[in-house]
Amino acid sequence: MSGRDLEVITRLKPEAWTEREQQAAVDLDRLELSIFSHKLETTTVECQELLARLGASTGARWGDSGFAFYTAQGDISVCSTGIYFHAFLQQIPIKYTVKHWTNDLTVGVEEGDAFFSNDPLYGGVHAPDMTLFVPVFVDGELIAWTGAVIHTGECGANVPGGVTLQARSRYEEGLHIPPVKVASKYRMREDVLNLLANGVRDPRLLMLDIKARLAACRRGEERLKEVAAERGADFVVGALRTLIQDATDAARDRIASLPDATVRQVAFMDTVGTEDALIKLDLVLTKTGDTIHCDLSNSSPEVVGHPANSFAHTIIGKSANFLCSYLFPDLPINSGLSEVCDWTFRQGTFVSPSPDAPISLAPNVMATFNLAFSMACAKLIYSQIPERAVAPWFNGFNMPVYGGLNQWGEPVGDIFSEINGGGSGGRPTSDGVNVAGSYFATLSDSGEVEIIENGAPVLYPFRSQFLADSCGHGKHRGGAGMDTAYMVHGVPWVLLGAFGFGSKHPVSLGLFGGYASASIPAVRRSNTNLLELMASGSASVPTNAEELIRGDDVTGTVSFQSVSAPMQPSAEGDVLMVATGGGTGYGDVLEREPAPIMEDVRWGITSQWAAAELYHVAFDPETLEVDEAGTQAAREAVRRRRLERGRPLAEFEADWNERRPDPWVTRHYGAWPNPAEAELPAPAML
Amino acid sequence: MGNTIDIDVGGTFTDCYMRRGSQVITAKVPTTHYDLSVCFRQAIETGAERSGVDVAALLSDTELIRYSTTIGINSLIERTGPALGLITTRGFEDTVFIGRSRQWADGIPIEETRDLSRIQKPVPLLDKSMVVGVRERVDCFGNVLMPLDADDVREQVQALVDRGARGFVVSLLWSFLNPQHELEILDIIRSEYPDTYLGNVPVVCSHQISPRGGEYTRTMTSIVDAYTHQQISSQLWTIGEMVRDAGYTKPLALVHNNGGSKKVARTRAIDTHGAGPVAGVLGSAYLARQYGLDRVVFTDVGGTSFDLGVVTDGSVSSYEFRPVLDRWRVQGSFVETRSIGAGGGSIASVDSSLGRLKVGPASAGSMPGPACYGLGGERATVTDADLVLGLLDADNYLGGRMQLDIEAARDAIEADVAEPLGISVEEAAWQIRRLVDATMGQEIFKELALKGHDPRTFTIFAAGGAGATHAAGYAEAVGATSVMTFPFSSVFCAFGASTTDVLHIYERSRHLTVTQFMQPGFALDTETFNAIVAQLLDDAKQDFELEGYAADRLHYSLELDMRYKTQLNQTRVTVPKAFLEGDDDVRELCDVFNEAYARQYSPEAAFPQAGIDIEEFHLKVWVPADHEPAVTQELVPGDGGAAKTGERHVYWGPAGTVATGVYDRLRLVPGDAFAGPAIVESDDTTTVVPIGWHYRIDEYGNGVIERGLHGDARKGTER
Repeated sequence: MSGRDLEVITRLKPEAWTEREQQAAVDLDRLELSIFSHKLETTTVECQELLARLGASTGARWGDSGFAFYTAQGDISVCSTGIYFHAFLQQIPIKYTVKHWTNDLTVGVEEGDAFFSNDPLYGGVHAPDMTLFVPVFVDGELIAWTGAVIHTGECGANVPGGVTLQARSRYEEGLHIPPVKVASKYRMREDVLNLLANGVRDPRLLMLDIKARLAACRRGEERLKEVAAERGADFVVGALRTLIQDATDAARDRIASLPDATVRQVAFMDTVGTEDALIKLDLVLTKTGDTIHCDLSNSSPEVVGHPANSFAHTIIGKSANFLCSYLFPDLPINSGLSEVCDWTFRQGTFVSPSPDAPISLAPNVMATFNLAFSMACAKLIYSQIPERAVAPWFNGFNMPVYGGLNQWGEPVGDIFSEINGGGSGGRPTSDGVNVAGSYFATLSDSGEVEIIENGAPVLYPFRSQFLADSCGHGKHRGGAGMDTAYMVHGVPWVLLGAFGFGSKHPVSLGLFGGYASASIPAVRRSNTNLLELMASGSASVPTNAEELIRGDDVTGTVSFQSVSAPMQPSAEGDVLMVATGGGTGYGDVLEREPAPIMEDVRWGITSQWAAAELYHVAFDPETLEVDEAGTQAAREAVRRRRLERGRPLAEFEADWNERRPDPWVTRHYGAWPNPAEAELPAPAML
Repeated sequence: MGNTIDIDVGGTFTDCYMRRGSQVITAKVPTTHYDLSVCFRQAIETGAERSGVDVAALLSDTELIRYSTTIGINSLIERTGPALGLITTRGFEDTVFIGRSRQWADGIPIEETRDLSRIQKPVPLLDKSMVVGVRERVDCFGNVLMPLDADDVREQVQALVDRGARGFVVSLLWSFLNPQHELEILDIIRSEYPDTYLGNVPVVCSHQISPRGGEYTRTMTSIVDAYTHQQISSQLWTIGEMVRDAGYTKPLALVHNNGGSKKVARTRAIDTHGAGPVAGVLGSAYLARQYGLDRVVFTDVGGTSFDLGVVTDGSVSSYEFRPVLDRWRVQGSFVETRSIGAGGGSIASVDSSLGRLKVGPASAGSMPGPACYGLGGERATVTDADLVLGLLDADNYLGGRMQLDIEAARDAIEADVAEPLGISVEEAAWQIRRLVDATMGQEIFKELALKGHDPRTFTIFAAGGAGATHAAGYAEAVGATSVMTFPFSSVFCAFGASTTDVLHIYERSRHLTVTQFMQPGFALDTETFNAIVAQLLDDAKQDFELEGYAADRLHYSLELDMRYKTQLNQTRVTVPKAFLEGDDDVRELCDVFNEAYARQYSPEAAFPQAGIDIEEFHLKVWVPADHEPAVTQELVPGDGGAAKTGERHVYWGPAGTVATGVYDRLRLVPGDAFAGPAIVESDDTTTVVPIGWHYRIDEYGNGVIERGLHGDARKGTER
């Protein structure tokens, strides 16, 4: 048994050039390299498309997936758009396989093999994020790997749906498979598939997703072999490594062009899964020369006995999000980009917990980091590339989950695709985009109601674009989020829950004075009479969350919960509401013109309350006509009050430092205000 | 078969292909975007002139005029459609604005989707104030959960009328399964607003336009149809009047994007979008059958775009997986074509971060066009590169109709590419050409490979003004060994239109379980299955009868979209039997699906135990067109010497500058053959035969470019 390898798990940067790679790259023709790079980029699109076509889970169907080509050493060289961090993190199980299985006589790595893995300790995020990779051999030499990742929404955890809020240790989080051979000689091993299928509630989903990944990897393998047949294995080996070096060099140049600076940014998480609690992520980003150094050591301690932790490698992998989509959108997507970042973690914090820590909610932690990292980077790059210094996208998950038998009597367990309904952030010259997708997955898709109702045992009472004030306000507001409700339909009962954070403390903060996006709860309305109301043709059938919660004619009890809402049995007619948040605001609300504000009021993106109280617009509530002079006067008064509130820094700090939340709120926070100042709790294996 | 006229209106040129007895006449005129009937008339006038008869005489003995048009897509892009009102299920009014979230990325090249700080959703085709919700609800079983309230409908429709609606789209949840409420709304609109008000105002019900699941895409399909309906119908009316006044007495037919053609009166606006390239694919299928080629890829290189489509076994078998019109995802069985931003006008530049050459997708288009056009373009383009290399003749471009400025081309390439890369102008031009050829080649490769084919075994058909100039280059990138060019290559899509059958596809979504997960035996309700097929067949018979075709002339083929349970993807299969009688028939259906799946995606990917569902029915019905058999000529072996007009110094990259023979296409005869490097010039295109390739004129008078030794055009491609 080779067991865990906590060394491999740190290797997200490119490996040093091997002699083989150096020799192969000596005579590399730049034009041929361009053609090669285009060919592989095109192929990644083809393979990503295959994942969507053949996969069965919500993740595969609506864009929560990634595909990439890796060097023989396991460094990512060419990546599809999609979820970048999945592709980046997949380097680790590949590197583990190279290190431990290549020369192991009982395992070995041979042509026609395929390996499967989903264990976070071997490079994954959390158990539902499952990966499959295959070696590419030419004339007996391992020259590359191809790999595909999909979030398969059921992994045999202690509740259906892939993400458990209640896990006390990793041993309650479902399947944990270190890199294991699932195919050899181009055939899947039925015994191993049986083993995997045996551990989950929806084996069909697991199998179809595995087969989708394999089909994509094989397609990539085939394409790479074609190039090798035409141009030789040397060319492929040299080109894959050179593409990484090109990205490194270009990324370093761009970082060097930015001013040296230190930017501090904190971000907060407000749940440990089943309970509210405040947890701090503290990022000190120091840019010197061509390198960015990220120090997270002043972050909260490991959350013992709750899954609100994430391993350091997933945090590092997460940085690919901002790097690929905002800072380097014009550069190749590969591990060369990660060369510009150095990292410091304090072992024992919730961003670098002990190996046995539960981490189901790692996506929350990664989102918290993403918020801090993207805001710090926006501030860093503003003076040089202001157009890319944009306010954060809705940074939460707000992921409704279901599990049970569907209306056709089939076992199902997955997430709903409205997770991909967030708004993007305000920008220097324009508002964010309404319902733009997920911040973590480019080109994600929120699906169609008829398609979802066809397979999941729910009826949508409504699904609309604008949840009033879901976005962060500002000179340029964030894009609006999405308002959705799910009523159990066609079955006696099903499990419904949700996963996410930010119901108490905003999950996404604004930029340069812009407002955070709203805190959104999960709301359950049980035992409703919606079906009877519908049948009667009543005009009081609710068409948005507010009407559903407040509607006088709707019966049943309403309960507000954190969006981190454990699964619970829900009977036919019960309703769960999980809205998706808007993007955050950019710039001062007082600088927003009244006309677009009133336009937003007209369409329900901004409430009349926000127009009056946040934007300080004077208007007629009936006609929405703006009183220009009144608005100007109101805004001047606000500016005066702001000046009056101003105090010298020392005076402000003396007062501010006196304040602190209730100790119950900070029970998982660590030493107040600086967690780094205290000893860390001992990890526990539960 | 009587005389026919086919006209294809493209973005830059309008092409005309006339067949009069055994005579073929082609014509090409600039597209007049301000009024497409003008270029339509000019195309016919030019053709008449070339055939030596006047327009009236030409039209009076023409049996059929077929037309493919871009009017519809233009009105989408230019937003010149009418103010539409959308009536939908209350609580779902924002569906078209939500656009499955990723609407911002639909219809733009993948490379433009990476920079998330710049994303923008397209301006909607209708304002938010023009969407109303009515109280009603149907569920996934087709059951009415909430009845429609007629008063509510009247009130909402009146609100739309008050806001200036000039057309209505009715799209309700699950209407494809139970259309009752949409039909009730249609009745209410018809009874409340008489014909005098409605006139040409369309009322479109989504279940009639596209009876398929997926409310966003179905609604967009209906909106796009209604949005483009008026402009298309008024243009067609003008054109119809024009040809009738000029003596044409037969109906006008339109080419459809599903691969057939139908009379104008039997055409929905949505059927016409993108019909031009589809006609090109159909023409390729026709020629593939003539040559007995079972693997052909149609390619069309214009000024700004490179279009391609796949033909296997002599027919068009694949449809768009996610059809997008302009920026809108729609539903429909559109013959699959691909378009990327690569063509003669593609701009070459050097990426400052990576120091790498980049060609396209930005294009100089036809205005200002390449630097060598001298129309104000200053950026280096692919055409400039071709000119600098010596492949094009500055004095004999398009038969001398356009003088090219080689110095301007050299200056642009020097400044944009040669200097930044530190290489000579000729080498820069060579690299531009190599890269654009490779880009087009990879697009072909990807499309073919995605369908499970070996791209190297395909014959490439080169169409469009620059197709023959680059085809051997992209064939090289694909690994293909045979390219065909045609005397009518530059009007190929109009030719393709002339080969279309009268065809329509009748479609319906219906979820039917065929087998259950891990359970033996079959679960298919064959009675329901057969009833759906019978209904589609009835619809087809009625529809074709109205078009003037009796039931006994109809040909049928039933295709099903099937999937392993819980997959989103559906794989389309042609079923052996339209009506199922017992378990053996169902077993055969499953086998057909499993085999198609394994073939397309690899045997390891198939998973029959998952259970199999049917999701959609597509009944394809057609009346085959009569085609004039192609005439062959005797092959007289020759070296083309009589057609040789001289030599040019051409820069061939690693081979350096080589004296290259130039031939006049018109003077080459069947049997002529010679080795590259060579250039074959005609009035509308220049064919490039690179080093290592050969050229010959075959028995049909078409030009064949082959890699390696002399040989039959079909060698290595026929199976």
